Parts: sequence; structure tokens; C-alpha cells
Amino acid sequence: MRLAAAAHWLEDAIGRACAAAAVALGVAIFALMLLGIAGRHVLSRGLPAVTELPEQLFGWFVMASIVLAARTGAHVAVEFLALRAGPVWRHRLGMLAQCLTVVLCATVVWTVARVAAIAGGDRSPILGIPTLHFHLALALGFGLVGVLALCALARGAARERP
Amino acid sequence: MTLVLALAMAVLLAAAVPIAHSMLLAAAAAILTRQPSALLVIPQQLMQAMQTFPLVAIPFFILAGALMLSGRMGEHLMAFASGIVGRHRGGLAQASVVAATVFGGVSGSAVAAASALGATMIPWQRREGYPAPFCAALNSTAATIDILIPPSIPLILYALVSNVSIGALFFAGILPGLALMVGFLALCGWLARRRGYPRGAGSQVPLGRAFWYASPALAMPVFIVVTLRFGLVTPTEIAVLAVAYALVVSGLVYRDLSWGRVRAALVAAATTTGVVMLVIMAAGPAGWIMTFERIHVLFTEWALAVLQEKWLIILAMNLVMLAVGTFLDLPPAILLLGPVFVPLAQAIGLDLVQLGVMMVLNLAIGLYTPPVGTTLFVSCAIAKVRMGDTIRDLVPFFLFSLGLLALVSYVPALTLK
Repeated sequence: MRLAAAAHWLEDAIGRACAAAAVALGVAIFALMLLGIAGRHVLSRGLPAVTELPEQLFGWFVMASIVLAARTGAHVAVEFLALRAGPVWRHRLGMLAQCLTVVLCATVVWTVARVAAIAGGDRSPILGIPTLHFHLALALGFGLVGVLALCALARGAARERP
Repeated sequence: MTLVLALAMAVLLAAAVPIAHSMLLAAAAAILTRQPSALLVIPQQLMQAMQTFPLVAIPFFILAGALMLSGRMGEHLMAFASGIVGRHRGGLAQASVVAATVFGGVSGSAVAAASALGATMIPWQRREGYPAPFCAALNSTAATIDILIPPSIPLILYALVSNVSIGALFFAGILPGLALMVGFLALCGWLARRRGYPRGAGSQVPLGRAFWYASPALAMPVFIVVTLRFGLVTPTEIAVLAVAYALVVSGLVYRDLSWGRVRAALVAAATTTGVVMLVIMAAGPAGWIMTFERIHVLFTEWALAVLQEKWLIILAMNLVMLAVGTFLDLPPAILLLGPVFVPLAQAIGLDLVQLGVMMVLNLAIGLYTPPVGTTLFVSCAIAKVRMGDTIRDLVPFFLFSLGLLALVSYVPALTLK
């Protein structure tokens, strides 16, 4: 039960952090883009730096959103076969899906690290921001999705115990 | 690799692994069978989607819809819809159809429309004596009008895979969307007379006043289409301006803006964005495999050699989409089928804008077709009815949608450009 409670606490913490990040990044991208539009249409001149910054933040917003969706179980699955199975098999299928998610996330994090070592030195054209941060966002996002899947496995295993 | 990809994906989907995860795992399995070192393609493809900035239009259109529908603006839209048709026999059912159309102008997602409309309309219809299966069937089908009326998230996704102008697609979706509305209104009236459904009490607010209250929301799709049509702004800019408009209207006109509501709308929009974006990202490696093995070229050559006739190829495309849409949600279906069908459409001289509307209309049918139908699932949950019980009530709407699909497929004039 302790493991399940700890898993639940960790899931909640990740969910809250990602919701806060998504809100902050969403507001920042909105404000910067509005400024860019004002620059282009009202002042009749583009603001390149203001245009590039939302592009850099968008990747982080996407990854925060993906983790948030994973936390709320919003990622869509085709469940009609699982729903026809009995409760025991449904539970096992759920555990299998979480195991596969852990494998997937570990693979993505590992391959991102390898790609980052090759292509991480690139920089954005205007502000010169290292594009390595996109690799970091991708690895962190999938890493957190993997942790959420591990938490779900821990809760599932605790439920199985007599 | 493609065969392994398809088989692995089918097995994983059947095991209820989330669709995006299935696509990525299947792609990894397919790559491992042929060239393990090519596994690095996966993060590269994932990153490419993350850096596709035009996709920023998706969260902001969703946010604009969430801001508008969660406040008084949503209530005024509902009052306007019931004011137009509410007094006729079956008027409350027709109000769902009108509401789905006007909600379509502020929201770009059928599932969001099904949840927002269903939560209000289904309990109301149940109280007036409408049977639960009919309410669920109506809500799930009417919600699909939403994704043909601009702004539309599926049309943005199609634009991504086909390189067609989002403005042209939005404009082309209007007429089929309105045709779907008129057809569903007629069906509701006919079914209400046949089955003796009650007359509605209509709206408490006079129609003129209801229109006046709802006009800021009704103006939004016009604003979007006109500015995109005349090239005044880009799709990403209009999405941001739609949010600004929703904030200004909520704050100054309806006076119901609060930080709590903005935050809740942002979290809801981010969650939906997370679902859609992961599917878009996961479609990248699968698309790379199909491109690597020239599947779209082989499929085009095969279709041209075997089917030969244009009308037959269009029919086959529709049948494939109907079958895929029955089992797969709309975004992954567009992202997987789009790259295969776009070259084929070009080869037979089918307009890509027409293909886009045809694809969205076709796959929208899958949203309310059992066993996997997202709007049907949401509506059944609200109406507290089993999916299987709605089939009889779904049939008329299904047949009308198929008829309209045939028209859109073979009459290019229906998709205005």
C-alpha cells in the first residue's frame, strides 16, 4: 500500500508541475505571438526575435501537454476488445500496455541521447539558442511519461496483492 | 518493414495500447527487423513534428473554443439555437443540430462539441421525454458538423499532410457543413413527427435578443474565414487572435472572465493538444517507413492499374476510409491515410481541397460508428445508454451522411474554393 501511495503522490506531483508548465508556456507563447502580430501589422515591421522565441518554447509546451495528457489518461486507445475481456484479463492488458509504454519511453530517451550527441551543437538562426534544448524537452517529456507508466504499474501490482 | 509495421500496430491496438504508443512501438519493431541502426530516425521524426511551428494553431483554436464555450457565451449560443427551432415538434432535437453548427464556429473539435453540447442538451431532452438512445445518437452525429465549420482541427491536420492552404480548406468545409445541418434538421423533424416527440417550449429569450447576445460568438467563424481568405493573417496568427477575441469578448461584453476560468481552459486545451500532438509526432516514423519503401508510389501505381476509372478509385478510397475510421480515431487516420491518398488524388486529377473535405466528412462518420466512436462514446456516457442500443437511431443520420459524402466525392462544386 505504501508503494501505491508513493506512486500516487509522484503522479500528482508530475501532473501539477506539467499543468503549471503548460499554463506558463501557453501564456508566454500567446503574449509573444500577439506582440509579433502587432509588430507585423501595426508597426509594419517584423520583430524576428519575438517571432523566434515562441517557436523555441512550443516544443516545451508540447511535451508538457503530452505528459499532462498521460497523467489524465487522455491518450486515446482502441478499447473495444479489452472491454469485452473479463476484469482479470482487462487488468493484465492494462499492465501490458504500461510495460510497453515504459519500454517505448526508455527507447526514445536512449535514442534522443544518441542523436543529441551528433546534432546537439546546432543553434537557432536569430537568437542563437542551442537546439539541444529540444532534445532535452523530448527526453524529459518521454522520461516523465515513462515514470507515470511505472507508477501505474506499481499501483496495479499493489492492487493484485491479496 | 511496412508489413511488420501494420501487423505490429494491429496487435498493439487490439491490446488497448494507446494509438500513438502503438504507432511508435510498431515503427520501432519494423525498423529493428531491417536496420537497427536506423532507430535514430525515431527521435529525429519526433523532433521534426515538435518544431513544426504552424501546429501552434491547434492549441490556440482549442483554447479559443474552451474559453468561449465555458462561459456565458456558450449559454447564449444555446439560447439562440433553441430560439430558432425550439418551438417546433422535435424542436429540442433540432436545437442540438443548430447548436452544434454555431458551436462549430468557435470550437474545432467534434469530441469537445459532443461533451459541451451533450452535457446541457441530453439531460434537457430526457426531461422533455426524448428516449435516451435517440439523444445519444443525435448528439454524437450532430457534433461532427463542428469539424466542417471553421475552425477545424482535422482540416488543419489534413493541411499538414497535403500542403493545401488551411484557408481554402476552411472555406471549402462550410457548404458541406451547412448541408449536413439542413439534412439533420429535416431528419429530426421527420423522426419527431413519426415517433411523436414533444414540441419544445423554445427559448425564454426573444429570438432577436438571443441573436444579439450570441452575435459576438457567431461573428468569430466569419472573422476567421474572411481574414484567412483574403490573406490578411496566417493560420497561426488567426488562432492567437481568436484567443484574444475570446478574452476581450468574455471580459468586456459578457463580463465573466476570471483567472480561474482562463487557467482551466488552458489546462483543458493543453491536455487535448497533448493527445493530438503525440499522434502527429508518432505518425512521423510510420510515415518515414512508408516513404522509405515507396508505399504511396506503389499504392498509386496499383490503384491506377487495377481500378483504372476515376470514380472507382474515389469509391475505393471512401471504402478504405470508412473501414479505417470505424476502428481508428480521426487524427491518426488522417495522418496515416493522407500521405497515401494525396499522391493518388493528384494522379487521377482529384482536387486536394475536395479530397480534404471528403476525408474529414468520411472519417467523421467513424466518430459515431461502433465499436470505436469517440463522439458516440461520450454521448452514450452522458445519456447513460449502451452503444448497441443507439444503432437503430443512428441509421438515418448515417445514411444521410453517406449520401452527402457521395455528393462531396463526385460533385467538386460542393467544396467551394
